[in-house]
Amino acid sequence: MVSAKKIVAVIAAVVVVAAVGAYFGLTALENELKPAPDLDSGLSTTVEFSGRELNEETRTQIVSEVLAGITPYKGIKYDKVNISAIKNGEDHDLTVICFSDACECQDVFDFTYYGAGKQLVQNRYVLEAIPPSERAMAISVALQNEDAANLMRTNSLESVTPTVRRVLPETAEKFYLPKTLLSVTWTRFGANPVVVSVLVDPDEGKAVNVWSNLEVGNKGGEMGKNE
Amino acid sequence: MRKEEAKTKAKALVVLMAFLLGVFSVAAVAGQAAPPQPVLNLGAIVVGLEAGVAGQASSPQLAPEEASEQSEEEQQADYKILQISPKHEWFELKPGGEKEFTVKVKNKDEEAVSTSPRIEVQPFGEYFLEEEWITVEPSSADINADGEQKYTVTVKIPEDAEIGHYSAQVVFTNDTMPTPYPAPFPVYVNSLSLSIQVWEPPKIVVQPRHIHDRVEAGQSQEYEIQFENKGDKAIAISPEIGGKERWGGPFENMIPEDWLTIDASAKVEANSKATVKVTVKVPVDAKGRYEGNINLNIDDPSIERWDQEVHIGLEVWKQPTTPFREGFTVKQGEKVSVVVTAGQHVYDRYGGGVEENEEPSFDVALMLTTPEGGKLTPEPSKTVKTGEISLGMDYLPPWEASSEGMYHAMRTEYSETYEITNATGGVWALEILPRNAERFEYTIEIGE
Repeated sequence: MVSAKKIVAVIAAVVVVAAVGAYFGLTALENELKPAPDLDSGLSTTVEFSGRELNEETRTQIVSEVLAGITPYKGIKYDKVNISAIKNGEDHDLTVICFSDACECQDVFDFTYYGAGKQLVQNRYVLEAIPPSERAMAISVALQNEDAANLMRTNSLESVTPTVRRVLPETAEKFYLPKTLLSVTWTRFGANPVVVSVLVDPDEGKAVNVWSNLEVGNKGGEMGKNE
Repeated sequence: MRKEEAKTKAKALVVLMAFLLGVFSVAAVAGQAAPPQPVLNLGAIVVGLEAGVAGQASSPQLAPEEASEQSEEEQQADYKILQISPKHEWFELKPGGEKEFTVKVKNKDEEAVSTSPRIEVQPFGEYFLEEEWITVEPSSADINADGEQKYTVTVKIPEDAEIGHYSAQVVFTNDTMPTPYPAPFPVYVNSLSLSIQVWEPPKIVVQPRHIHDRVEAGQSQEYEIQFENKGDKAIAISPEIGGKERWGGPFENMIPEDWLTIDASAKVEANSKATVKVTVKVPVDAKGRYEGNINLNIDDPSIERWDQEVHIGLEVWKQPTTPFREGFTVKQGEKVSVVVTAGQHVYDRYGGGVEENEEPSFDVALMLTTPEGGKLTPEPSKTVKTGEISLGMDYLPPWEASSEGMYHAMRTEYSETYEITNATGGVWALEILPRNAERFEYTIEIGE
C-alpha cells in the first residue's frame, strides 16, 4: 500500500523539478531572444549613393553588400553612409564614408565590387569614427605606457595631436588577440619623420604593443654599429 | 770581595732587566693588530679582515693563505649549480587576478640536489608580495645530476591589494652568494626573481593631457580639461599648478603662477563628467615660449603619479602691426605679379580650447615710392590652397597597414596672387601684413 504521505512527497518532488526546469528553460529562451547590440544600428542609416553607369539592380546589390560589410565601433551607429562608385571595366571601385553623429571623425572603407561574381572585396580602410570618450581613454592609456611616453618626450611629440584608429580583429590577432583594438599614433612629418604608435585594448584599458619607426631603423642599423 | 759581589749583582740585574724588556717587547708586538693582507681571491679578503679583528682581541690568528684555502673548499662544497629558467618573471595582474607559470630547474651539478622552494621577500621595492599569495608545486623535489624538475608557480593577488609594483624571490636552495662585507640580506644563488605590477584600468579619463597653444601677448585664453569618471564612486580632484613627474621641468621659461587661474569642482561624481577650466592671462610684455604643468591630484590609485599631470606649452606672440616691406623696380607698362604663400603642417595646428580658423591670410599693398605714387591694395586675383597627401607608406605602424593606400593629409599651403597690369615705371614697394602665419614666402614676378 502506498501511503498518502508518500504520494504527497512524490507530487512535491515533481513540482520542484518542473519549477526548476521551467526556470532554466525560460531564462535560456530569454537569452536567445536578446537582440544583438548593433542589430538596430543600420535601421536609421541614411545611404547616399553616387555613381554613374549603374543600373538599379546593381546599385541595390552594392548597397546591400556594403551595409553588410561595415560595422561601426561598439555603442555607436552610422547615421549616414556615402557610397561613391567608379566603374572600372566590369567592376566598380567603391569609396564608402560612414558618419556617426556621436563621433567627430569618419570611417572610410575602400571596396571593389566584382560584377562577374557579384562579390564585394574590402581593400583597405581608415576607421576613425570612435566616440570622444573612447578616444580620450585610448590616448590616456597610451600615454601611461612608459616606452611610448619616453619616445614622445625625446622626440618632442607632446604637441602633436594623435590619430586614434580602430584595428579590426583579423589584424589585431597578429599583434595581440583577435578583438577590436585602438591604434593611437603620433606622427611628425618632415625630412626625418617620427612615428610612435601604441596599440590599446579598449576593454582592458591597457597598452598591448608599442611601435616606433625609429626603433625599426635602429634594430637593423645604428644600434648594431655601436655594439 | 764585596766589590766583586756587587759587580755580580749588577750584572744579574742588567740581564734580568734585558730579559724583562725582551718579554714586554714581544708581548707588545703580539698585541698589535695584524693588517689585512692584500690577496686576490674573495675568500682570502674575507679571512684577511677577520684576522685583523682577531688580532685586536689578542686571539689566536690564522695565516691568511691557510684561511683562503679553507674558504674556497667550503665554497665549492656549498655551491649547488642549478639552471633556472626563467630567472626573472614580470607580469601584470589586477587585484583578484591569478597567473600560473612554469619554471624549469636543471641540476648542472655532479650529484643530486634537494630543493624545497620557498618565498623570500626582501625589504626593498615598492610593495612586498605576501608569502601566501604564491604557491609552488611540488613543494619539494630531489633533482638528480643532469636531471630537470618543472615547478608550477601560481600567483593570486587578493581583491584588496594595493595598486603598485610588487617583488619577491622564489628560492630553490639555501645557497647564498658570499659577500666581501657583512650583507644585510642573503643573496640566494638558486632563485627566481618575481616582479608583478598590480594595476587597474583607470576609472577616470582625462582629456587633453597636453595643451599647446599660441596666445597673443595681452590676451586671455580659456582651456577646458574634461574628466569622465567611469567608476561607481565619486573621485576627488584638486588641480593645482605644479608637478614635474611626466613632463619634466623646471622649464627654462616657466609659466608664472599669476598667469593661471584654475576653476574646478572638488570631485567628479560617479559615472559622470566634469570640466576644469584653466584661464591663462598673458601680460602685454611677455614673449617667447612658456611651459608649465597642472597637477590634477586625482584621488584614484589606478592613475600613476606621473600621469596626474597636464602639460601646458604656450607660444606668446604679438600680431605685427607694421607690414613687411620690400622694394622692386618696374619698367613702364610691365605686368607685376606677387604671390604670397604660407604653409601649415598638420602637426602645427594648435590644441587650444576654442576652435579657431587657423588659415593664414595677408593684407597686401603695392605702391610707387615716389611722393605722387598712391597706395594700391589689390584684391587677390587668385587664391590657391595646396595639399600634400601621403598614401601612408613609411608612416604607418604595422597594425595600420590596412590603411596603406588611403589618403592622409600632411601639409596644407595657402597662397594669394596679386597682379598689376600696365604698371607705372619706377621703384615700387610691396607691403605684406600676415595674419595667422608664423612665416611666409613671397615671389615678385615682373613682366609676362
